[in-house]
Amino acid sequence: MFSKRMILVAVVIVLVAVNVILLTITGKNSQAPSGLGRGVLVVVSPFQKQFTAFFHSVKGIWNQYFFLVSSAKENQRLKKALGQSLQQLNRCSETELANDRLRHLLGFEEEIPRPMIAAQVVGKDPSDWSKTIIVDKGTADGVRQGAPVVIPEGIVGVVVEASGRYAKVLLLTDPNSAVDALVQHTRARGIVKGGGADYCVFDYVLRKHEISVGDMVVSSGLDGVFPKGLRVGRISEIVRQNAGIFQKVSVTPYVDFDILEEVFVITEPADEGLPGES
Amino acid sequence: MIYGYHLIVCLFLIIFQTTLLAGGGPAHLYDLLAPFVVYLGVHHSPRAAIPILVLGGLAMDGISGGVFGVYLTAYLWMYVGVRWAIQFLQVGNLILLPLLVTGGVVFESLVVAFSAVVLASAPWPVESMFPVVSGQVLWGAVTGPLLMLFFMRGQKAVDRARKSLYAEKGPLRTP
Repeated sequence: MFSKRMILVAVVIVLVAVNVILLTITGKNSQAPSGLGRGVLVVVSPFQKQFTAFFHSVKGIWNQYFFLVSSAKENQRLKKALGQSLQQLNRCSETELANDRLRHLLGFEEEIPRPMIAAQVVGKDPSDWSKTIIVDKGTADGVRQGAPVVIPEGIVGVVVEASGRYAKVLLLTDPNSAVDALVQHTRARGIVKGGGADYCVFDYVLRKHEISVGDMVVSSGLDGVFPKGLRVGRISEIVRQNAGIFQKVSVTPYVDFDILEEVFVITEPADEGLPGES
Repeated sequence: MIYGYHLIVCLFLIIFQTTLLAGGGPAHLYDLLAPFVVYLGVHHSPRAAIPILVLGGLAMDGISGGVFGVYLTAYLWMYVGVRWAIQFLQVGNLILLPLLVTGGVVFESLVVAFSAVVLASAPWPVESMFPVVSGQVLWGAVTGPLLMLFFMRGQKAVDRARKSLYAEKGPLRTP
């Protein structure tokens, strides 16, 4: 009745349909099915960490050593001495930079009244369609799913998956991210959502609120995830349409996600206590 | 031995594109595993290829923050498509092989873009598809066939190493 070819085509159609349905179901969660995502972090992230460290050291040597050494060709002895000095200088300047960064982070740590843990970025999402990073701290260090991730410049994102030693962080610019925020100057409230590229969208800001380009947007603390007053970004574009009760606002994050190296994970959940409660 | 080679290449590509390239690579770079999947489809049976595809797909899905299962889906269907296509195409042909690789990159880019634009809980705007997919296809068309040649060279080297290993062991086994 049915040819072999028709049966094959029907089977392929059914398989594609089942596949799309399964993807639709998993697409509703930002987290992998139980255990699978964490298992991958456990296996792949240690290699990522080693590779990142190797890449940074090679980059440092390349930037600080080879370019400069090539200019001292005349004298072999001086070149060797210069090379050694530069290697030393490279180590010193790397240490100095790390020192500055860590001092900066330490100063910031004191501003936030919740316990935080510093983590290093070891990997990034290769896809253009999702914005995540992998950090080298996990549940063994007190990092839990839903923990906010910040740096002194502002909000980085939120932990969506954590294994023993590593965690996956959903960045602020991913469309799945959302932060309850307000304009510092006018206290106009809204939700900052990831715009996909290097910007965010500030939704649900009422038209009646006077806001302007360049205003700072900070977290309101009402989402129960991010502490109040953390810098999110500055308003880069405002479109007031003729109809509707909301304004269309774009926000440029303060954090440069391309050069993230170290971040802070806030390990303790927000205090849910009522005002006045001790 | 060939499983080991495939596993190492797969792991290397994943780590390379999630560390080095993600930290300072070109914008809209395609998934480097796409040419690898095409290579597996052209040169290896399902028994040798499917375990690597499943592991690679799960690893990419675990690292990525996108829809879980989309890479696994793309790799498996791409493999099936390549196996089907080589029944009709002369894969040794210098023009057809790059076309096959480019086709693989196009397919994977479209599947991942579709998942982000249609299936994700917070979908991306449809207009963002064109620059990303076209950039990925361009990169894939230029560098994908070269990568495929590397994989094939690597396989030849592994085969030679295996043969020489057996040749050394052979006389010892004979009584």
